[in-house]
Amino acid sequence: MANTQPAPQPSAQEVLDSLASAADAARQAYLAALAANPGADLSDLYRAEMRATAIWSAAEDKALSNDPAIAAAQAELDANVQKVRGQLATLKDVGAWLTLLNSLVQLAASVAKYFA
Amino acid sequence: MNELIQATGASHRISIGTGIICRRWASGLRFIDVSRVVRIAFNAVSLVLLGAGFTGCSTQTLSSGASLAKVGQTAAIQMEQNATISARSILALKKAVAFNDGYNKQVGNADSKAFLANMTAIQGRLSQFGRWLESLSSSYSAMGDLASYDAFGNFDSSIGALATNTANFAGAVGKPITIPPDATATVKVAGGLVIGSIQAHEVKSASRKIEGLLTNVIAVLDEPGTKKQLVAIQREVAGQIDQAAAVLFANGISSYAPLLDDLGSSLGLKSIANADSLVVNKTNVLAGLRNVAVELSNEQVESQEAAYDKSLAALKALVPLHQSLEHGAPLNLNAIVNTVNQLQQLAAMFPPPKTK
Repeated sequence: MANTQPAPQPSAQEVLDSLASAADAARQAYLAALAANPGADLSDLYRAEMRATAIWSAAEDKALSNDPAIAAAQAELDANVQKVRGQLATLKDVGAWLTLLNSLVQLAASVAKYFA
Repeated sequence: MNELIQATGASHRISIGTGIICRRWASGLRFIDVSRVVRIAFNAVSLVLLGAGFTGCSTQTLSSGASLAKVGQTAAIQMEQNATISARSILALKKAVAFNDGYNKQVGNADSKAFLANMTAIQGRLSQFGRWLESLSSSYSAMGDLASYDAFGNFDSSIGALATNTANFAGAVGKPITIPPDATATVKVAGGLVIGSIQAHEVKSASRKIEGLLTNVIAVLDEPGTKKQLVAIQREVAGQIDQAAAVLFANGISSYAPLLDDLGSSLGLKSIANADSLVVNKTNVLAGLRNVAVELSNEQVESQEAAYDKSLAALKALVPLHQSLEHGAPLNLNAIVNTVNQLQQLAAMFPPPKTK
């Protein structure tokens, strides 16, 4: 029977780095959509970007609680950030970007709840 | 006969044999009973003669103390200039977010407001580092006065403020420390008539107080995460400004011409009149220019990171100078002077944005 080891607890700084990276990915997505769709209404993307940015800045101001579940939440957020970054050069459709960013924001919010 | 002498000087030294009596007359007017001075001086002469062998050491300590105070103050002022660039950037951030909000029909967006409030709060806490540097500068200045004319009172209040700001800064970056009571304990050991060796003892004691608090802050700055906290705000500021610039260009309002000219200047190239209208249709050229703009933005953030590293190096370079002073060894100022020069160069590369 496999002996599963719990994931090591990330430091507050590591989680903050993940949240900052999510906010940056959201901004890059906005800029990519802007380049591909000049003049288009990107307000929904901007709202998602500012949500991610606000989540990071609020976490930056708080201390991290000691909940082991944060490791898995952080890993999921990081994977989603990579997914967004991986599509920066190819994805053109604003609607597809919005779906990705909304998912990113939800994950960022779930990670941020571990900050007291 | 009681004779009164009106003294207005700030600093006087009277040589008796090989000894030196350093007599402090505080700035302003002070009246001294000469007969009392003579009695004290008579008693002091024996002390002075006993201390004659130490006079050379005392003179060197006072001279080194004045030199360390001067270089320490210069370093602290320069570090403060490098640290306050991010504080001035907050206004630029607010302008960029205001534009981005308006452009995206999000005036009054709750997340934008929360973001700016958080950033202002973070910046306010981080500005504690600037206040600490101000206190450090004042403490060095007061130590210089102590070495020059035994100005004890100034040092006493300055070191108290430095201790308070040390604790405040450590708390602001989430690494609270307790300053031991002896960190600010008085260094005074004699009254108005002080022989050089006693004044030198006071300077050494003052040096130890500053060194102790310096070491506390170095430990905080050395901890992983502190640097990221202090420079993260810059990355976010640069990102928001970069976004506003990209939107302005995408809408044909701003021009890449200055960037093109800057890029081509080393090759003797200048942008043509209708460059922007061509750039907007050439996606590869646009991507290249966007990349240069991002690189410039990154350079500013990296200059902040470099300023952090250099400031930490400057603080670390001050510690052995304190130790040399305290052990009577000559001061080697090369490291601190070089580091301060590098900080000046960094500050000159990216001057703070002009604000009206």
